[in-house]
Amino acid sequence: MSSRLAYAYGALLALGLAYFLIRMPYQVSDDLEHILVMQFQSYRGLVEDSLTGDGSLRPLQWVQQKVLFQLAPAGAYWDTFKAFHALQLLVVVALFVRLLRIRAATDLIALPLALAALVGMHTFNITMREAYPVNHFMTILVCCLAVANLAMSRPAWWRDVAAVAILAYALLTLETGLLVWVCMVAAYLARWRGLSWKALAAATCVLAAYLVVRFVVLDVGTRGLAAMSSGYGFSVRGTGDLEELFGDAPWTFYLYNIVSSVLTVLLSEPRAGVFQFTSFVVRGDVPPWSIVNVAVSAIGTAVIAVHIVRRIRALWRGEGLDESDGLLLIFVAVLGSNAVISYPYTKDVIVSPAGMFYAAALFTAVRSLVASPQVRPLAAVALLVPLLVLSAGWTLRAGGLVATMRDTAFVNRGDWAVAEDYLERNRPRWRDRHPDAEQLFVALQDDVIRTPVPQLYETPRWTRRWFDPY
Amino acid sequence: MRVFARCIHVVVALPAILGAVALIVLVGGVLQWHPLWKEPELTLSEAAALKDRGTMLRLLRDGADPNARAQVRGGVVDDDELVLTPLEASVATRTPDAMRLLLAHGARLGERELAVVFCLARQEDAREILDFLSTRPSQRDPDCTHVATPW
Repeated sequence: MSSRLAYAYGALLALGLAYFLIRMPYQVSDDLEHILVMQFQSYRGLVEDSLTGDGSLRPLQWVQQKVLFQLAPAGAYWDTFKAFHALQLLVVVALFVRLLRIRAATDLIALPLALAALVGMHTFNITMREAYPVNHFMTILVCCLAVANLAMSRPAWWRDVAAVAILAYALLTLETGLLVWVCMVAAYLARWRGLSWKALAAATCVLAAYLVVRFVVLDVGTRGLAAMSSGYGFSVRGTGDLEELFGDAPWTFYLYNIVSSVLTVLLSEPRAGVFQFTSFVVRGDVPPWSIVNVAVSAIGTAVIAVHIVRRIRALWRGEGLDESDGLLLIFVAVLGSNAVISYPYTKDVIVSPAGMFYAAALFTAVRSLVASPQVRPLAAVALLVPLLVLSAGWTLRAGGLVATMRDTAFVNRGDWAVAEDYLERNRPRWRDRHPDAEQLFVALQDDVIRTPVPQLYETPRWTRRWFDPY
Repeated sequence: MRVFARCIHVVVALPAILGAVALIVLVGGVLQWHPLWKEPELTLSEAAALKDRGTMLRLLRDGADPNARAQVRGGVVDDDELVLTPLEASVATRTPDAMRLLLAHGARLGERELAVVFCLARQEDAREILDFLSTRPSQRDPDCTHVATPW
């Protein structure tokens, strides 16, 4: 019963978010260019181009986009891409709920908080607000959750095959696909035996083959210091700035990015490498949303840390690993690896897998608090205040996701009105690439400008202070 | 003791409010009631005043006259309702983005219109608009002491 209620609640929340998702126009940059590329480029051409990349190797990203582009019925491109995006969201929530193994009433009580943390986490925000026009960061979330669920189930040969196939798919979609392998290893170490050691060995071979192809055969490499602008200190620095600051010792910047990526998941500060909350404090004007972000993340991290220490002590006393310890282990492993992968530049969305498993670890820790029968009255009172801040704060942050989607919808629709200027600036010969390029552009633009979006001037002013605008 | 335990349960389950909101949104959507995603009908002048380029382009494609005066409800540009041309209204955004879109779709910026827009921009200290107007060929700055501005 609890399990069914959990799925029903998860579906309700996901559908509620999908309501906003399907109404929000996507951004011009990347989307428009990618769709126009889908129109003129063959599958083979897309794969060949992606193999000669600029520090990235993502052929299946392009293939996935092309498949959806071709599946779109009678020019309903946006509807098709958004339907897929909404489907990904539903799958993420369903797999996340399954991973939490909701069985008792106390599990059910902690579920809304876990889901609020999942969708309210700033690392999840961009997976909802952007698409290219397929959000591949969301694809990686699906892959990580799928493999973790397979590992948590009963052993079966087809689960082994599925897990290895998912890893291969994820690796060829985005660099963070590597985290699928991390999930498999961490789950195995936690004694989840849905996947056998043979699956793990096969997955390791796939990973090794990927690394050889990437670094030796194709020599694609990785993105370096001058590849992207990135946050550092109190601002985002351009590639020239970064070269000037770290040209002699890029490893110091890489180290900064790794530490930033860990901290942003645990404390919501810095954001994309920028110490935003700190700069608000220095300026003497800290918006409430920023205080809420840092406070709830800090409290949540403290709750998780206390729970991890308790579990380590229990293990030390000779108690065995329980099922939910696997979630903690996966969280720690994914957090570390995700941060290391983010070394060349930091973006909140890159650490979205770590953010997702943070929510799962928070669930485990809070559930243990709720279920623990030996709580003394004084301890209960002392717990009540931080738990209230935690619950209310994550609720507010999840609500903030909707607020930013409303704002994004307005901004994106406005940008589409002048998208032709964007194309002329960035792809001056775009019309020559396909005879129907202009027709496709006008159809896409017309669809967007006829999409109703909320007017920003009608948004109450107080929301600007309480909902995170980034 | 049991009371404390219950309190903790209630506090932890607080984010379930989000589920209730999601239910209202979904049922509302089925009934064509969209409290969190509603868009009022705007005139071209209102859209220009709000830098709502999406609505501007839609109205222009549907045949709206880029030079016609239209009502701008109170609270958008001024507390009172005004009647403005889209170009005049666009000064309220303090950026030339909406103005550029209007000019690209046939808005007229003759000597008389330029005088009003320029003096409004000066009155509002809209520097980006003043810079944009100064880039237009063969226009000299009007004398704002003799120009009546709409707000």
